[in-house]
Amino acid sequence: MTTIEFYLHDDDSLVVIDAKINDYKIRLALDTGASHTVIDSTALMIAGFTKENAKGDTYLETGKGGIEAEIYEIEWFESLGIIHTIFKICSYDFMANGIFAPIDGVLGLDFFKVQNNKICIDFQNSEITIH
Amino acid sequence: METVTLTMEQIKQNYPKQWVLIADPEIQNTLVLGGIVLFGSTDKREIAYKRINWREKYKSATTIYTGEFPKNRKFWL
Repeated sequence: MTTIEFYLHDDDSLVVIDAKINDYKIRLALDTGASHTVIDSTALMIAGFTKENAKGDTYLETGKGGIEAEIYEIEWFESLGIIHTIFKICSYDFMANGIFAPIDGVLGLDFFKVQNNKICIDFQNSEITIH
Repeated sequence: METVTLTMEQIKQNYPKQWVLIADPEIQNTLVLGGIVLFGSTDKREIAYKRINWREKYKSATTIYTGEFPKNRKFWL
Protein backbone atom coordinates (compact mmCIF):
# COMPACT_ATOMS: atom_id res chain seq x y z
CA MET A 1 0.00 0.00 0.00
CA THR A 2 1.27 3.48 -0.90
CA THR A 3 -0.15 6.79 0.29
CA ILE A 4 0.60 10.04 -1.54
CA GLU A 5 -0.47 13.50 -0.41
CA PHE A 6 -1.91 16.01 -2.84
CA TYR A 7 -2.73 19.68 -2.56
CA LEU A 8 -5.73 21.53 -3.94
CA HIS A 9 -4.72 25.17 -4.02
CA ASP A 10 -8.18 26.48 -4.88
CA ASP A 11 -11.59 25.36 -6.14
CA ASP A 12 -10.24 25.05 -9.71
CA SER A 13 -7.32 22.80 -8.77
CA LEU A 14 -6.73 19.43 -10.35
CA VAL A 15 -5.34 16.48 -8.42
CA VAL A 16 -1.76 16.77 -9.67
CA ILE A 17 0.81 14.06 -9.04
CA ASP A 18 4.45 13.44 -9.86
CA ALA A 19 5.43 10.98 -12.56
CA LYS A 20 8.58 9.91 -14.36
CA ILE A 21 9.16 9.04 -18.01
CA ASN A 22 12.44 7.18 -17.76
CA ASP A 23 14.43 9.83 -15.83
CA TYR A 24 12.44 12.89 -16.94
CA LYS A 25 10.09 14.19 -14.25
CA ILE A 26 6.61 15.40 -15.14
CA ARG A 27 3.38 16.39 -13.44
CA LEU A 28 0.11 14.73 -14.39
CA ALA A 29 -3.52 15.29 -13.47
CA LEU A 30 -5.13 12.19 -12.05
CA ASP A 31 -8.07 11.71 -14.41
CA THR A 32 -10.50 8.90 -13.68
CA GLY A 33 -12.53 10.14 -16.64
CA ALA A 34 -9.72 9.29 -19.05
CA SER A 35 -9.46 5.77 -20.43
CA HIS A 36 -5.79 6.31 -21.26
CA THR A 37 -2.73 8.17 -20.08
CA VAL A 38 -1.99 11.13 -22.34
CA ILE A 39 1.20 13.21 -22.35
CA ASP A 40 2.11 16.43 -24.12
CA SER A 41 4.37 15.66 -27.10
CA THR A 42 6.69 18.52 -26.08
CA ALA A 43 7.35 16.83 -22.74
CA LEU A 44 8.03 13.56 -24.54
CA MET A 45 10.52 15.23 -26.86
CA ILE A 46 12.37 16.84 -23.96
CA ALA A 47 12.45 13.38 -22.38
CA GLY A 48 14.32 12.22 -25.48
CA PHE A 49 11.63 10.74 -27.72
CA THR A 50 11.25 11.62 -31.39
CA LYS A 51 8.33 11.21 -33.79
CA GLU A 52 10.17 8.20 -35.21
CA ASN A 53 9.73 6.43 -31.86
CA ALA A 54 5.93 6.41 -32.23
CA LYS A 55 4.44 2.92 -32.34
CA GLY A 56 1.24 3.95 -34.07
CA ASP A 57 -1.60 6.43 -34.25
CA THR A 58 -4.86 6.73 -32.39
CA TYR A 59 -7.83 9.05 -32.04
CA LEU A 60 -8.69 10.77 -28.78
CA GLU A 61 -12.13 12.07 -27.91
CA THR A 62 -11.60 15.22 -25.86
CA GLY A 63 -13.73 18.04 -24.51
CA LYS A 64 -12.77 20.03 -27.60
CA GLY A 65 -13.56 17.24 -30.03
CA GLY A 66 -11.48 14.55 -31.67
CA ILE A 67 -7.70 14.83 -31.77
CA GLU A 68 -5.25 12.62 -33.64
CA ALA A 69 -2.55 11.32 -31.34
CA GLU A 70 0.45 9.04 -31.43
CA ILE A 71 1.20 6.03 -29.29
CA TYR A 72 4.58 5.61 -27.61
CA GLU A 73 6.05 2.85 -25.51
CA ILE A 74 7.78 4.13 -22.39
CA GLU A 75 10.51 1.86 -21.05
CA TRP A 76 10.12 3.10 -17.48
CA PHE A 77 6.95 4.90 -16.38
CA GLU A 78 6.57 5.66 -12.69
CA SER A 79 3.90 7.37 -10.62
CA LEU A 80 2.22 6.97 -7.25
CA GLY A 81 4.81 4.39 -6.28
CA ILE A 82 3.89 2.14 -9.21
CA ILE A 83 6.43 1.31 -11.90
CA HIS A 84 5.44 0.06 -15.32
CA THR A 85 8.07 -1.13 -17.75
CA ILE A 86 6.95 -0.84 -21.38
CA PHE A 87 3.88 1.27 -20.75
CA LYS A 88 1.94 2.63 -23.71
CA ILE A 89 0.86 6.25 -23.61
CA CYS A 90 -0.92 8.54 -26.06
CA SER A 91 0.60 11.87 -27.04
CA TYR A 92 -0.25 15.04 -28.91
CA ASP A 93 0.90 18.65 -29.00
CA PHE A 94 -0.92 20.43 -26.16
CA MET A 95 0.12 23.95 -27.15
CA ALA A 96 -0.96 23.47 -30.76
CA ASN A 97 -4.37 22.54 -29.36
CA GLY A 98 -4.62 25.59 -27.11
CA ILE A 99 -3.79 23.87 -23.82
CA PHE A 100 -1.73 26.05 -21.47
CA ALA A 101 -1.77 24.34 -18.11
CA PRO A 102 0.59 23.48 -15.25
CA ILE A 103 0.49 19.78 -16.15
CA ASP A 104 2.24 17.62 -18.74
CA GLY A 105 -0.72 15.33 -19.24
CA VAL A 106 -3.21 13.08 -17.52
CA LEU A 107 -2.86 9.78 -15.74
CA GLY A 108 -5.72 7.65 -17.01
CA LEU A 109 -7.41 4.45 -15.94
CA ASP A 110 -5.09 2.27 -18.04
CA PHE A 111 -2.30 3.01 -15.56
CA PHE A 112 -4.23 1.26 -12.79
CA LYS A 113 -5.56 -1.59 -14.90
CA VAL A 114 -2.14 -3.11 -15.61
CA GLN A 115 -1.80 -4.45 -12.06
CA ASN A 116 -5.50 -4.23 -11.17
CA ASN A 117 -4.73 -1.62 -8.54
CA LYS A 118 -7.27 -0.37 -6.06
CA ILE A 119 -7.20 3.42 -5.71
CA CYS A 120 -8.78 5.62 -3.07
CA ILE A 121 -8.87 9.41 -3.53
CA ASP A 122 -9.48 10.83 -0.09
CA PHE A 123 -10.47 14.50 -0.35
CA GLN A 124 -10.99 14.75 3.40
CA ASN A 125 -7.32 14.03 4.11
CA SER A 126 -5.95 15.12 0.69
CA GLU A 127 -4.30 11.80 0.01
CA ILE A 128 -4.35 9.03 -2.54
CA THR A 129 -3.96 5.45 -1.41
CA ILE A 130 -2.95 2.72 -3.83
CA HIS A 131 -3.29 -0.98 -3.12
CA MET B 1 26.49 23.08 -19.38
CA GLU B 2 25.65 24.98 -16.19
CA THR B 3 26.43 23.49 -12.81
CA VAL B 4 25.06 26.11 -10.39
CA THR B 5 22.06 25.02 -8.37
CA LEU B 6 19.43 27.75 -7.99
CA THR B 7 16.40 27.99 -5.77
CA MET B 8 12.99 28.33 -7.38
CA GLU B 9 12.90 31.98 -6.31
CA GLN B 10 16.22 32.63 -8.10
CA ILE B 11 15.04 30.76 -11.20
CA LYS B 12 11.87 32.87 -11.34
CA GLN B 13 13.94 36.03 -10.95
CA ASN B 14 16.49 35.12 -13.65
CA TYR B 15 14.03 33.56 -16.11
CA PRO B 16 10.72 35.40 -15.69
CA LYS B 17 7.69 34.13 -17.59
CA GLN B 18 9.69 31.37 -19.28
CA TRP B 19 9.67 27.63 -19.66
CA VAL B 20 12.84 26.43 -17.99
CA LEU B 21 14.61 23.09 -18.35
CA ILE B 22 16.04 22.15 -14.95
CA ALA B 23 18.55 19.39 -14.33
CA ASP B 24 18.62 17.32 -11.15
CA PRO B 25 15.57 19.13 -9.78
CA GLU B 26 14.57 18.96 -6.15
CA ILE B 27 10.86 18.22 -6.13
CA GLN B 28 8.49 17.94 -3.20
CA ASN B 29 4.91 16.90 -3.88
CA THR B 30 4.88 18.24 -7.47
CA LEU B 31 6.53 21.53 -6.45
CA VAL B 32 9.97 22.19 -7.91
CA LEU B 33 12.13 23.71 -5.17
CA GLY B 34 15.25 24.27 -7.27
CA GLY B 35 17.85 22.78 -9.56
CA ILE B 36 20.37 23.52 -12.28
CA VAL B 37 19.01 25.65 -15.12
CA LEU B 38 20.02 24.34 -18.54
CA PHE B 39 17.85 26.47 -20.80
CA GLY B 40 14.98 28.93 -20.72
CA SER B 41 12.55 30.08 -23.39
CA THR B 42 9.16 31.72 -23.72
CA ASP B 43 8.26 28.85 -26.07
CA LYS B 44 8.20 25.42 -24.41
CA ARG B 45 8.66 23.75 -27.79
CA GLU B 46 11.99 25.51 -28.28
CA ILE B 47 13.36 23.43 -25.40
CA ALA B 48 12.24 20.29 -27.23
CA TYR B 49 13.67 21.43 -30.57
CA LYS B 50 17.04 22.25 -28.97
CA ARG B 51 17.36 18.57 -28.10
CA ILE B 52 19.62 19.27 -25.14
CA ASN B 53 21.37 16.08 -24.11
CA TRP B 54 20.92 16.59 -20.37
CA ARG B 55 21.51 12.89 -19.67
CA GLU B 56 25.16 13.37 -20.57
CA LYS B 57 25.81 15.09 -17.23
CA TYR B 58 22.71 14.79 -15.10
CA LYS B 59 20.56 12.04 -13.63
CA SER B 60 17.17 13.67 -14.12
CA ALA B 61 15.43 16.75 -15.48
CA THR B 62 12.12 18.52 -15.53
CA THR B 63 10.55 21.58 -17.15
CA ILE B 64 8.68 24.30 -15.30
CA TYR B 65 6.96 27.55 -16.18
CA THR B 66 8.05 30.54 -14.09
CA GLY B 67 5.09 32.76 -14.93
CA GLU B 68 1.55 32.62 -13.65
CA PHE B 69 -1.05 30.39 -15.23
CA PRO B 70 -4.39 32.07 -15.89
CA LYS B 71 -6.60 32.17 -12.81
CA ASN B 72 -10.22 31.13 -12.53
CA ARG B 73 -10.01 28.37 -15.14
CA LYS B 74 -12.01 25.20 -14.89
CA PHE B 75 -10.61 22.01 -16.40
CA TRP B 76 -12.38 19.37 -18.37
CA LEU B 77 -9.76 17.19 -19.95
